[in-house]
Amino acid sequence: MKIRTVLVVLAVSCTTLVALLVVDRNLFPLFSSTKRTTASQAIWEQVRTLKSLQTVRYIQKVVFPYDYLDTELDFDVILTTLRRGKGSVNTLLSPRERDYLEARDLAERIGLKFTGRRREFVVVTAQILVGIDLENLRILPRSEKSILAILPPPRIVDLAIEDPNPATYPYPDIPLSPSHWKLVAGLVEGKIRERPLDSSILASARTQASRFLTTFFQQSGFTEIEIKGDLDG
Amino acid sequence: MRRLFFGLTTLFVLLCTGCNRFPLPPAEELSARIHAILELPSVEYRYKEIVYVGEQKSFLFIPTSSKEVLFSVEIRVQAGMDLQQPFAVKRDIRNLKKIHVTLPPAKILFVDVDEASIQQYFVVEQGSRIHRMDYSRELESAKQRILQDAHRRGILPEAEHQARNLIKGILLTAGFEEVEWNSP
Repeated sequence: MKIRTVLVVLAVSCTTLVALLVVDRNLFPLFSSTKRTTASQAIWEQVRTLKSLQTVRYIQKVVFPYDYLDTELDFDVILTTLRRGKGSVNTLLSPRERDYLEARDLAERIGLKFTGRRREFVVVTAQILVGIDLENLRILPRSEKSILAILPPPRIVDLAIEDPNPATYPYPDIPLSPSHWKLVAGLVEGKIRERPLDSSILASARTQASRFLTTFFQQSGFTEIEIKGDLDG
Repeated sequence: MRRLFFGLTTLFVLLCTGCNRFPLPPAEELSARIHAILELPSVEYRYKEIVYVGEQKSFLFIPTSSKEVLFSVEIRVQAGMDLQQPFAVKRDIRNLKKIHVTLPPAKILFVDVDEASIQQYFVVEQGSRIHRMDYSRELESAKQRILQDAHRRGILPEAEHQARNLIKGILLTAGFEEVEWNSP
């Protein structure tokens, strides 16, 4: 009689537990088909949801044309090279010489006085967002508590040339038509895109990203964390 | 009968063992984790600022002296959460998978004018010279200008947004499904 009662109680308990299992499988990790996602997978998914990590906002002011008129270069030498050489401007001149030539040519076209006593210039503000593309971040778990992350190289996430605002332009005003301004802004934007980012900006972006990810992994329970830069790009 | 008894007992024990939920970390541990994250400056703005100093003096419309200088300087601004202010982490009583977080406000942590980065474009000195104090005064006003600019561009909301993203990631990884942000 006693065993029968115990059997009935056990049978009812088991039926209840099985019913619970049907309602919510997550209550029973032992029987759950999905199991618990491993920590590294969960972290990987969380990091990926951030997509891109903006690490540095660089507000670069460019002085046109002086930023492109390298004092070590001589305009006459550039002209002589072009007259005597055979080939295109791109093959005959170095990038710095091309910058010099283009900037000087544009400055003359828009009537800027940039030699002699009177020195006219335009300050162009560019906002550059530098970031790490987290979709290309590689996370390699080495053990339960050890992880290796390979960072993709920092890149320009966004670049915008800002229109000058008279309230925040503390430089001498010069006569410049909207079409001339557009030409100057276009040249500056093109040069920023062409030139590699300053090494200190890249270093700063990498440091910020490494600190961010190290803290993220530490707080997710990893004790051995290695962050490397992807040299292959 | 005995076989049935042992069979049912084993099944019962197995089911009961399986019923144990994965423990979520206690609120104190989460607070410590979040505190570690908040110690990081979450946003950095870098500036290449252009400074212009121009001064002309004249007497009866005749220029007597003029000084003019144009140079660039690198300035760094970092923002993050103000750890002097309290923050709180509380688990929801009704929903164990939900957590309430109250973050401190964001603030500017650091402004650095890198004087080693100064690059001069040109200098004109006629009848008057540019002194060290002129540079210092202009650098100080450039620093204030940059701070205003960083605020205008939204450095503080951006710092808060980045911190929230990171904390949310940690909490979701820890097993929570919903994070509610409360204002301090």
